Amino acid sequence: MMTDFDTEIIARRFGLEPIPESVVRLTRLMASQNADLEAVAHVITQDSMLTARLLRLTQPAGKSEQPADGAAVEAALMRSGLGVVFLLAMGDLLMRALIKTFSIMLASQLRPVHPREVSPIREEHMVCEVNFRGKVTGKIQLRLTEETGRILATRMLGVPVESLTSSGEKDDAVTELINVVAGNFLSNLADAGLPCRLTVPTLYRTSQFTMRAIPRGVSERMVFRSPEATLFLDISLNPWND
Amino acid sequence: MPIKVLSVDDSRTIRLIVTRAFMPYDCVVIEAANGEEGLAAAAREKPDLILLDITMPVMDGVTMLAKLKEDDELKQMPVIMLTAESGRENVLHISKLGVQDYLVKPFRAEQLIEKAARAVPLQKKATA
Repeated sequence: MMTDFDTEIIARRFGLEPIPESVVRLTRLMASQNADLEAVAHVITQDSMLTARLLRLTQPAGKSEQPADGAAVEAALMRSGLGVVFLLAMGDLLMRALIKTFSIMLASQLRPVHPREVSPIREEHMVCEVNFRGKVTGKIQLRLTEETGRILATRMLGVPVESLTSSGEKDDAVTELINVVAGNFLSNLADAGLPCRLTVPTLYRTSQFTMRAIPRGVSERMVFRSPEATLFLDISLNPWND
Repeated sequence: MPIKVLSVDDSRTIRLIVTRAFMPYDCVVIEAANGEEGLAAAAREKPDLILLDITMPVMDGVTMLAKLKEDDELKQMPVIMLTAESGRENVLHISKLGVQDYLVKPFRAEQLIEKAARAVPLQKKATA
């Protein structure tokens, strides 16, 4: 059994980053399952990003955005149930992992945008998928155009666009990208007491742009932009593992 | 004699990034795509430093590390884990097997070189 002392020694020895605030928040949210709705709502309203995502996820289609106050958060939680709290917390970890990976490995600053601000991909596009199983079951999919894939691969490898001669190089780079993001995400989940195992990522092409949820799961599509790329990141999970 | 670095990773992209990072130094980077290839390359090439991923097909990095440590000829080779897996319990388990250092992906080339330089004497290549 690992003690806090072990954790501290290991983190110091290898210069590991401290467990992010989002993981601490995740743990609080999990603990809040047994708390009343008001307590869960309180945790969510402390974070404007979580609040905005909750309201977006639970908004009936076609309705205009609600004001982001405590009452709106409580109403949204009542409509959606606690499954969405898992989704919010895990989506937060995933989003942070993606933004960090882009910043470090591609020197590119991604920012989350509202899905409504972005046109869907209408042509055949790349989808890189990874599944995880353990305390929670779920699936992550990164969607991007071929052109975006090419730009990301060249930035990651630090080579000029014209030197990328085969689609194999592009596919390998995009696959490694999701592998790093998912690995970070899963490590944070493990540190939050939710150990899971990753499957090997798969990459395929499709014209089907609809998000594919896992059975009895909750899902969210997050969209990110940088000056050179638009990315769609789908997460679907079954927090109850049923 | 150039320093021999063995990069064991199933991602060609990571192996290219590693090779590029060591390019300014008097180093030769040898590549292996999984633990089995890595063990064979370690026995054949006797590298000065091994950079080791964890999740790989055929043989994962933890298995390769355990086998390295069982081999009297190979067990002294310094290993830096280079992986996206950073869950504290995993890191603790791996560190008990015996590693020089641990670098979490995503990483910057400078971080890799800094950690490698603590394990082996890296020298910049002489410019013409």
